[in-house]
Amino acid sequence: MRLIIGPTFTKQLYRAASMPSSYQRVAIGVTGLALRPTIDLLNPDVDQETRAYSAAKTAIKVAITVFNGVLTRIVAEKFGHWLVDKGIITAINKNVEAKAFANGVALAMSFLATVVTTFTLDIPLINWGLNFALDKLFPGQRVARK
Amino acid sequence: MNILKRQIAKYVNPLKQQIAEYSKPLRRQIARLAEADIKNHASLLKWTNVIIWACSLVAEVGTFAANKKLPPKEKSFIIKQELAAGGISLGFMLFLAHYFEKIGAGLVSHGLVLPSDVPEKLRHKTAIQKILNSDPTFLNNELNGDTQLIKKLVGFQKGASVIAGTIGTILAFNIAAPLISNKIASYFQNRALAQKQQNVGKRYNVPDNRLAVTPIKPTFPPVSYPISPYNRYNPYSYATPLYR
Repeated sequence: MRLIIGPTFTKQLYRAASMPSSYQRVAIGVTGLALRPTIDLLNPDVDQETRAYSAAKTAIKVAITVFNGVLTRIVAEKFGHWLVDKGIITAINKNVEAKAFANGVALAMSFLATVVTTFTLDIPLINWGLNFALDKLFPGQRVARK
Repeated sequence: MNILKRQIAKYVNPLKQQIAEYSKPLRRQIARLAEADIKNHASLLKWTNVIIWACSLVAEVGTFAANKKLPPKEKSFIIKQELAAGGISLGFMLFLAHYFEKIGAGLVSHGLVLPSDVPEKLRHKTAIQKILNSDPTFLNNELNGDTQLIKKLVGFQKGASVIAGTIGTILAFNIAAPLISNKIASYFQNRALAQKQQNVGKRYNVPDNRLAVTPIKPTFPPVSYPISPYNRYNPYSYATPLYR
């Protein structure tokens, strides 16, 4: 059996060969936003109340990290392209294709920026988001448990 | 105005030169990373994801450790759960992304998934592998020295491995990891409950077989225990919602 891909989808595959990390993060994040809370909501090992709490916690966490991750990557990728355009970062091997090199620098910049924002933005945002949203969704429960 | 510009340039230009000098090693490393990306985009995406998610795991654990609103026992439970889930996510991601990448590339090199640009007479494994390896004899005899098809097929194979690797990552992170991490979390919870049961039994000198509730045995995969969080006669019930 052989699958022959038509011209439209083939074009998309050529593009995927240099897919920016922000696109990949969107794909992982959107499916994660749908699947991860659903899995927590259907967890048979905990009681009904804990399932709801756990699913809400996961949804908030995933939403914050996806939003932060995608935004950081998009900005850093643009910055990477700007660095190459301005000649601040140049290729070591002069035979490389300029566009592919710019995409590579964009990926490297998005990687560096994401590592930095993971530590500087994710911690306070998740902390604040969880406290704020869970207090609104499950009012007074934390106090009752103490 | 010009005097002001000259004055600013007098201070800014040496600073720019210094920044350029100090940032040279970093810029060189970024250029190296970019060139590695040109060679194998799927692999670099995979490894950067692994490092980012390892950092994210450290950050998440830090978030819960720093959350003053969480009681210490629940905090410890959540941290253990996050570490278990994170470790598994990373392991699964590496495993699945790696093998899916290989499968994606293999489907093309074995001639099972091909673009319509490949002529019908060349749609078989031997010919495809010769094209991908840029076999010079084959190139001259079959393609009349045309390198366009090689470029297209190599791009197609790279795209297939990136897409397949992304599917592997999605499966690992969004399906396999949460399912297994929930099981691990339940194991930790049952272990905590069993410990609590034993402590209460010892405190009131009650033998195990005289306890009011079924003794909890932490097993993996965990067994669910019907403990209601609202049963005030059950001394262990409050421990059920350890998630918060």
